[in-house]
Amino acid sequence: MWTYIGTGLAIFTLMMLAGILLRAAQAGWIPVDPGTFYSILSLHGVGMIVAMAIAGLGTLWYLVRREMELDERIAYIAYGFFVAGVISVIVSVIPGRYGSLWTMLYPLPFVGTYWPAWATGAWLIGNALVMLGFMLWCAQILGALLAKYGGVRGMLAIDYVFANRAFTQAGRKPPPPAMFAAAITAFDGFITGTVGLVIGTALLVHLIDPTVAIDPLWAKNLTYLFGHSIANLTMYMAVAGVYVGLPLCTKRAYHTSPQLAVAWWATLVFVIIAYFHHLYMDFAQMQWMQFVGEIASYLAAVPVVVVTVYGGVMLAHRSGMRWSLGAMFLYGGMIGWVVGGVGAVIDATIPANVDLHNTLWVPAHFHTYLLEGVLLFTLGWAFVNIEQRAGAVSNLMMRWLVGLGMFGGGALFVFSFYIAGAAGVPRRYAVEPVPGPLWAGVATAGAIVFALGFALCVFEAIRLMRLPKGEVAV
Amino acid sequence: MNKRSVAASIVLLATVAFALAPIFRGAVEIPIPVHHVLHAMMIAGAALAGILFAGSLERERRAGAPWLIVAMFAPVFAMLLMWPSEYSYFETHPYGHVAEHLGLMFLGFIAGYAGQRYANGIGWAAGIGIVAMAVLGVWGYGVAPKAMAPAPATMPSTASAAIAPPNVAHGATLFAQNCAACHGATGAGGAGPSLRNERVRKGLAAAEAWIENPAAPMPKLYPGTLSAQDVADVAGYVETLR
Amino acid sequence: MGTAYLSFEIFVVVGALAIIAMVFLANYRSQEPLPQEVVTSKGYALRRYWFWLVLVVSAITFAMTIPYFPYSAAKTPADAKHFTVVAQQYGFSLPAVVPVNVPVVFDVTSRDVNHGFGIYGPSGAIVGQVQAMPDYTNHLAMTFTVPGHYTIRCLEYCGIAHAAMQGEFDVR
Repeated sequence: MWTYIGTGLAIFTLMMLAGILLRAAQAGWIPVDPGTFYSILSLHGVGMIVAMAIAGLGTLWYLVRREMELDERIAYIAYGFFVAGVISVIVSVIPGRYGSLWTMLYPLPFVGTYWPAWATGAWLIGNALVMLGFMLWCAQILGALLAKYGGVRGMLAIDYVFANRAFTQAGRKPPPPAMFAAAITAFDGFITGTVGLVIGTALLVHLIDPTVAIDPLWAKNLTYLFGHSIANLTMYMAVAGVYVGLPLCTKRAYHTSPQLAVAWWATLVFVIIAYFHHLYMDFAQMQWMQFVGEIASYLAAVPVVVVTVYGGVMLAHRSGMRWSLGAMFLYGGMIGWVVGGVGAVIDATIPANVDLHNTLWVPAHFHTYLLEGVLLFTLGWAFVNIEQRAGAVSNLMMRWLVGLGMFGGGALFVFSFYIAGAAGVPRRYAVEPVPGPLWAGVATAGAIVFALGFALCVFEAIRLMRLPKGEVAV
Repeated sequence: MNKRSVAASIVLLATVAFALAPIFRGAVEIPIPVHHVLHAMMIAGAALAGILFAGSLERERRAGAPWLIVAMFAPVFAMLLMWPSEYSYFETHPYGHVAEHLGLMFLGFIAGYAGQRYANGIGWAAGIGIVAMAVLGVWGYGVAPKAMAPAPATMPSTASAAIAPPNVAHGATLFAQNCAACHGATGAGGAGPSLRNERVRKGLAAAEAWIENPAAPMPKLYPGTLSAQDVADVAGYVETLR
Repeated sequence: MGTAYLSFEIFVVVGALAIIAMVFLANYRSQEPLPQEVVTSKGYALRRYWFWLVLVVSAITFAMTIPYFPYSAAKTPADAKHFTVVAQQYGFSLPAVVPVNVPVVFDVTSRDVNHGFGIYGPSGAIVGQVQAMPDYTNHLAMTFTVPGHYTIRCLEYCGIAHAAMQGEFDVR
């Protein structure tokens, strides 16, 4: 687990520095030519998602392993695929100068490119390797869950929900909450990986043989189905750490309930079909897809606010919990998830999307999700483990500093995206129209404060890890 | 021979018979989307046979990682085997066509078999995955709608032999519409290089040649957007930039 | 459409309420802890109402947005004026003038890669947008009520000069 989490956080750190550079460039503080800008942006996008995914997969693997046997070799082989893929992608950007961004839409990256064809190949192959590692991981977890709980029926606790009395009277137990996160990740992840491999292979074939035709709308649908799902799944992976970590911090129990099972069934379905919301401005899509996109986007929020976040608030409420860094991050991550969700649901509303699509509002909401949601869940889980092992927490001043840095700086960072997006500043612009550069400056400042808080937090983690194993339970 | 292996054999033989069709049908043209569907059916039959075979075996120990890697790679190779631009070649070479079908079946079989050998249920996941990939190809892999060919306001006429001397005023208009985005409103540069005093670097003929055949990332606007006369006009304008 | 600032206000209000509520609930009387059963018995009872509230608000909001979908608007009056818009790397071919207070339809397509046809009004806010795709034509139906100078920006990443890709027309 620590290999996965450590690798994920290491990649995150590099991508964060790249991100600060990008925002500073948009603020006009550091001169970066458009070609380099888009290459770094491509790396930043895919790198962040893969970083969060690797960390989340590590957390889930560890939690699944606590319940059943898992072959470590597969985890290492999958890891090998991830590392190979990441290296290939990095090579395609530096020195390859690939610059088509991670959700590239066919006919990009074949038209108007300023980088050699091998860089496109390296990018596609790198992403395919990461996908294959992901499929290996999903297949392993799925196989283990199916075996342990008795097929799909048991894994999703169908009998537990629909024949609850008979189930409990027979002395049977449903899977614990974190196993639902694992099941949905593995199941939806399999679909995500399959779709990613289709579009990736099709593009690779087109690279080698440009006479192979590809339908641009088909490619767009597959690209967004893949991209949307993998990004959302990083959140649902990290939630498993909350299901186990928050009860530890609050010294309360969190069990599976029929509501929790149904909530995860809803997530299983709605997370995938909500992808249509990326194509609202594609009037060539069939209309029913747009309707489904909006309703699925709304419904995907229901399990989150009614079960997971509500449950988290109930755990924390009047629990006498000590606000260690672990607790702060786990709870703060839920706040970030909700705030990002508000921004997301607004963008998922079609009349609002007309004015917000492809403006900075889009990175606003997903940076909120990722920076103040997924990342915090991952850090929270890591810290809970570190603090438990050391039997100690950070001192008050350190907690205040880290909190101010990461919540305050983070809030300033994402807020400037929202306001610039509402003002109509487009996303993915190397040079933004007014008032873009002003808010890019604010964002850079916020990001630097965030990075300082993050650095303190890393320093604190290392300090706690070096303490001898403590006896005092936190 | 238990029931599962009997069923598996029947499914497999039926699928093989289906896969041999090109030998008996001879050279026949089938649209690419239909071809994808037929391939998907073959893969589905083979995957099902693989799943049934794996289920029919006596298994003492759980299979390890290699099975899983094989199952995960199979779909990628299947997509490579369904290379759309080669379909016309295989339609006139039936034996090669059948060999390819058998290759697809092999990949479908091992996706189902290897997945199921690894863990119960994974064979179904891998099998459905590989069939889904083949089916997804129906709508876009080797298939694209006919280009709409809209008529923009500046639609050029087809190539004419004689080109009049450059109309610099017209060239200025064309420059503003097509070139200013990258080269700046006054040619001072931006995403693209500065064109001031370009006449020192490229004479009129060289400028025209470059516009007609630029190196990336400069877009190639001739003959789609610009006619030969347009190229002369805008090149003439560029030559005046100081 | 001018909904961007409304979106932003809703976001700020709801977001602030959410933050305040979650922080308050976690810190409320944190010095006097309660056993979990007491909290959960009240909490689960409340949750039932919370669930229905969220579901009903979602359904009503969804229903309210349907009349504002831009898709069926493409089936506008037969006498709407049509303008062809072709996007390419890195410019737009556009009409120079668009009539005011008249239903118009932009037939938008692309010559090469995906672009975005984003219309910015005289005040600088987005008034409409649609994707410009190769091999497909999208129809954007609008009626301009404010005369003036309109700017077009590309709203789908299309290559190195994506940020420089602009166009303009006048509405009068």
